[in-house]
Amino acid sequence: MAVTKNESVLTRAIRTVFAKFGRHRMQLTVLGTFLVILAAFYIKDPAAFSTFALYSALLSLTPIMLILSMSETLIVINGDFDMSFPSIMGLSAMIFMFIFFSTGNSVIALLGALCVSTAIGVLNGVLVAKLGLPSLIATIGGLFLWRGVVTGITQGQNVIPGLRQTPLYSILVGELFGFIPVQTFWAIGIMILFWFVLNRHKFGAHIYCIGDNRESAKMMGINVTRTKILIFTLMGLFSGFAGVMNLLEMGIFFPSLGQNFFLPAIAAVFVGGTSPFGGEGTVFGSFIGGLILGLLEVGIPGIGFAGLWREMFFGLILIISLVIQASIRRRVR
Amino acid sequence: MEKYLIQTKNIHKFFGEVHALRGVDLAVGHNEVVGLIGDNGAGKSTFVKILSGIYPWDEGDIIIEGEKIDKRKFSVQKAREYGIEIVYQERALTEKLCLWRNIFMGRELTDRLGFLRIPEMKEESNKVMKERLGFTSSAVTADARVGVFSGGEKEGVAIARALLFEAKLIILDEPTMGLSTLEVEEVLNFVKEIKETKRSCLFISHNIYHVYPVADRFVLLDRGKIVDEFEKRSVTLKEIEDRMARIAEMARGDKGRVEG
Repeated sequence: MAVTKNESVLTRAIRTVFAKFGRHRMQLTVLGTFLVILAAFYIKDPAAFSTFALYSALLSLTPIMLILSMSETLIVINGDFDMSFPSIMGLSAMIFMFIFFSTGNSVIALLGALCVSTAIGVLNGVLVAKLGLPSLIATIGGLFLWRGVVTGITQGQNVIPGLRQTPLYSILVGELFGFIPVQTFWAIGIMILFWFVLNRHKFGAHIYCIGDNRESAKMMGINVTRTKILIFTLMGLFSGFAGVMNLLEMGIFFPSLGQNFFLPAIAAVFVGGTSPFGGEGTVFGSFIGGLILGLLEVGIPGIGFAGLWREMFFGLILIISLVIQASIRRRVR
Repeated sequence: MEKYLIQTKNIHKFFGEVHALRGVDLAVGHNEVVGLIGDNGAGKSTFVKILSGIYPWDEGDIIIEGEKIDKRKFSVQKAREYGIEIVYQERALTEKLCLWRNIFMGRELTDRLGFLRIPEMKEESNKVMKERLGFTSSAVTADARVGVFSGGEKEGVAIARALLFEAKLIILDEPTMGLSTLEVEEVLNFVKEIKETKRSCLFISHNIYHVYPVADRFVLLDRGKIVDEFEKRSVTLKEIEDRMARIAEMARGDKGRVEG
């Protein structure tokens, strides 16, 4: 009798632990993948992977991608896609530069750039939510449109605006203690913000409901149109923010600014375990997913492959991630 | 007190060329269970979605407790404010999400800034499912994904919403569809409970055998129009069956003529 009682307590304990972790199994898998890759790199080349320089390089552009991936995550959970963010980045960087040249004030320039990028986000939202356009295609339209505007206005020229001395430089992309890029903390801050929005706020609850079953959400009185417009607005805002950050970090404006983030930022969302069918996903997953891609980028030369192999590794990790996720989801159902 | 809790007068609804509702007059009294019976395509679900504020109607009036409803301002939220709760045929669930999120979908309990009061919602969800609806299975917990529930449990989630938010009128749209005999029994008990707790119910179904035991009055809907009405005390099941058979016959005849 006593034995059965003990057993039942034990099985119950195991079941509780499993249930607790079970709910986060996707995030834990992504985190595990990251750690395995990091360990593999470290074993191959301990010297390179013990230097601050390498991690500094990792945290120079990766946080910008993380901000984009996490914003895209909200859109994907809600069941849509935004493809226009690289061009919004380019446009807001250009506007930042123009306002900075005419006023000399980097803060006003930032606000101006964010106003424009937010307005484009609203426009995307209206096209998708109010007019019912398919988001994937409508925002590809935006991708072409705004890039064309930028290259047309700047006549395809590169510009070195000289922004290193502005106060904004040290706030957005400077270095803390001389070696930690500040953009890292922006990315972490935005992750925490989005985590609260998604998990603890009504707005996030509605995003999940709409992504899971839009008709049900509508029947239960969720304002689908307003929620969607708001999500695209946030995407616009943070794309603009990332664009300005990228301009400051690179120190040079070029007409294709932002374009290099296009597919990696989207891939990071899916490496991070967010479902392309909506209703499922986490910003933590996208954060780690982005770190994985960033780590591959700096790590591949370190293990003796030329940087030219980068895309092959991106492709591999994306496909392997999807295979693992598919098997996890199958087990749940 | 007004004679009727809710009354619709000459409701018309078009979907493009299709004239889905052709002047529906229906009333539900206080503490009355009305069975709305009609075949597939009769317009039952369209009618439900009008009462619930999802579709606007094109012509006619809805009167709730003597108040004529402003067509332009009617919405899902407004319908709830009037005390109308709907248990949809589709159940309106989000199957990848957990129980408490489903029960409180669209009207989450929050603080003033919109942050969720999660522990409270979980507790309420557990209470309504276990204590009031009697789902004792260990699979039914506030954190369980609704997608793994049985058909009866899913129907239970949809009904739990109507229970939790005090309603004057509960509209059940095909609540017994696809359920086992035992689960149908549970749903019928729920309708009886609505009656006992002095509330009203509009029970919509194509199955007279499910509606007959619990309804006070029967309304037959055929191709967008109310074609007959019976008080329970003045009609037998056999008479309704015959009437339905004749309607089906007529529908077949019309169809033949159109095709011919």
